[in-house]
Amino acid sequence: MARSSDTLLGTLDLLVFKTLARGPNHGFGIALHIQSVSEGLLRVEEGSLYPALHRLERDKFVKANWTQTENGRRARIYKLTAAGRQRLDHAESNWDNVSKGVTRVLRYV
Amino acid sequence: MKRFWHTLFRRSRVHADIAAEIKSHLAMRADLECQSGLSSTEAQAAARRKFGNATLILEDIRQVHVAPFLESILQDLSHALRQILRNPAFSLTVLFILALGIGASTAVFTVVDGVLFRPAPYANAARLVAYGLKAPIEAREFQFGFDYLYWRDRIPAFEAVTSMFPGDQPCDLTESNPARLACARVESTFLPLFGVRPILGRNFTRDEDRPLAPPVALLSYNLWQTRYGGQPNIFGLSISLDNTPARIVGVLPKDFAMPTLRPFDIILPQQLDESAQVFPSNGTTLCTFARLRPGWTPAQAVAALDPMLQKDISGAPPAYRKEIHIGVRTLRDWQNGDRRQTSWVLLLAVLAVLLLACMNVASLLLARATSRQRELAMRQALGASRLRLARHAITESILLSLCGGALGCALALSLLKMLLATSANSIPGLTEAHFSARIFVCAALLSLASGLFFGALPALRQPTLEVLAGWRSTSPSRTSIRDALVTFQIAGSLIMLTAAGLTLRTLWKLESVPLGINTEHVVTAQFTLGPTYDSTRLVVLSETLGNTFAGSPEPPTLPSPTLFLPAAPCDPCHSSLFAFPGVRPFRRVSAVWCHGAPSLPIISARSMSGCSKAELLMRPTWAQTALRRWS
Repeated sequence: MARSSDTLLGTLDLLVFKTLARGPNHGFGIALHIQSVSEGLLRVEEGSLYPALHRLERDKFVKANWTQTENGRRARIYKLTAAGRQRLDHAESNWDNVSKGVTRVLRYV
Repeated sequence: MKRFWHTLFRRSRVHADIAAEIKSHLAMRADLECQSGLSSTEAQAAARRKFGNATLILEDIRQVHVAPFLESILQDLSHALRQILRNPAFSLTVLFILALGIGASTAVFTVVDGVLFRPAPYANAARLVAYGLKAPIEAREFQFGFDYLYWRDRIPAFEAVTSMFPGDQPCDLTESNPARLACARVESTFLPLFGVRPILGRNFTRDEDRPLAPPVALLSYNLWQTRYGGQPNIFGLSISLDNTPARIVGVLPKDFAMPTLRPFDIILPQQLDESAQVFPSNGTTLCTFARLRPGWTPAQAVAALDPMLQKDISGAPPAYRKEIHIGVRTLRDWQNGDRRQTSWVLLLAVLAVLLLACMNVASLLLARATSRQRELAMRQALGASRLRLARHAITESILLSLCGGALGCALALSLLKMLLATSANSIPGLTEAHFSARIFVCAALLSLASGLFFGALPALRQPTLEVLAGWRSTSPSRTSIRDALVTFQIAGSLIMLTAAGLTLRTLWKLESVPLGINTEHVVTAQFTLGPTYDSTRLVVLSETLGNTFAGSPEPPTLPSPTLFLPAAPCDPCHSSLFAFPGVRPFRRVSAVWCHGAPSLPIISARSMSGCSKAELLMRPTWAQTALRRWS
């Protein structure tokens, strides 16, 4: 169920995959990570993040489990599956092409 | 698949899970805000602010897990259910009307299904025909043994032919725990022609079908199960049939039915004495069947056979030639005869009743839709699409019709049980009628169709927004639908009522046709006698019984004891009148023994050869017709 992940619209999925590739995390953690690593340039809306996470879960790219965090909060932790990892590789190379292409178009005078 | 599952059964679970996740997110955000120095209340408020519209997001997430279309159907269903429960009097009325319509249709369909729609359970059933002579006295084709043997291999239209003895042939299992069974006597080619193979053992051979061959028998599945417990080593077992030992050679499949549709327990070789079939008067009548060669139709077969018949009977008197024809009918037509037409009439009549019921319900729903116009207009104003409103109306009517269908099924079931209990023998084919998956599918389809029918009319109406403002709106198109409906309904009811009245009148007239027999205070009793009762013994028995009755002090309820004995020993294979002017009657006349039956005016009686003490005894109406015709 690749929903337009090979276009610019798939960016959020790519960001989520990349974040989860570092290790399992909850939705809040993912949002925080993307924001801090992009130094505030990217801010992921919860209204898009959670539906995306659930869609990825439904399509079996991530797996979710309720776990206790170190702060003692119960959180739904998402983990990349093997299919998700494959998807990440695919999406990453795809992104490279897209960004290169976009850059070339923009640079062309 | 999983989405459907979630939608149907895990709605609340999915909902709770997402809500918990959002809550956990908000809590973690609030923790973070707290660290930047906000109070816990402020932190929570900030977390909620940053999160946005939680309800909307929850709904968005939920959409990922459920099938939206199915969900909207569920919504429609629950709304429809609420509507139905809100107005129980209305709903009960509708359900009652529907149950009547669908129940009656289902019951009739159950009865006529076998006649009209179910194919005969044989291989290549479309090519199977019954053929033979057609005479005015007998509804079905028959043949004399003589003709059958002569024509057997000379008909190009037929790939194969076979024959069996007509009529019911009772035979007795003369063992310990004796029983009267229905035996069929068929030719050895009978089962192969119908493409039937015994599930156990074999068909009997041509040699076993010759006269005086050691008797063999094939059991019906039912008899094998009930009498012999389905034991697999039944093959070769010897049973005593009519005091003669017969060897069991096989068991027939469970779904096998005789082409005559008569019940049977045992199939025996007919052992037709071919040398005796020299002249029709000495021969036997047979039911004859054939498989058409591919490409031949029954009509072509008739055309091919007719010259052969004309040549055969060229010496017969013209009156005889005029009355005798060749008949070739598909097995199904032969089995059902005029029941087919009757069945269609019955089915169409009951469907008309269903149509009327639907129209009734439709006008009820229309009337209610008028009272609900404000609600509908409000929903439309709030953004419900026209399609959604229409779907809603249809959902409600289909729900109603399915409930009505379920009730109707129950009604049909009890109706059928009642019919079977009261008149299983008087309606031909009724015993074959039984409830099966087909019937339920039919009932469900009928319900769906009627639901769509009476739901479509209210659904097509578009609420106008004026009604919201309290203005009365009666656009001409709307009232005209209802007017047309009412007109049609009244016209239909009138026609149906007239037809029903005529039918009742016919029935009543039939009931009061004078039979020439005074049937008041007459009781009947039946004796089942063994095969050892030949005609001589029967006469003795009848006299003994008659004397016993005459000698005994007559009970007041039994004023004139009268004894009839059936024609069976006189004419075991056939009982019909068959005589033509100028031709010696070559079938013995069906006769009953009669000992002083005062209420039977005998118009003409003859003693028949071979039937001692037999007297021709007919209902005056028949007798007069017969006398007019042949004297």
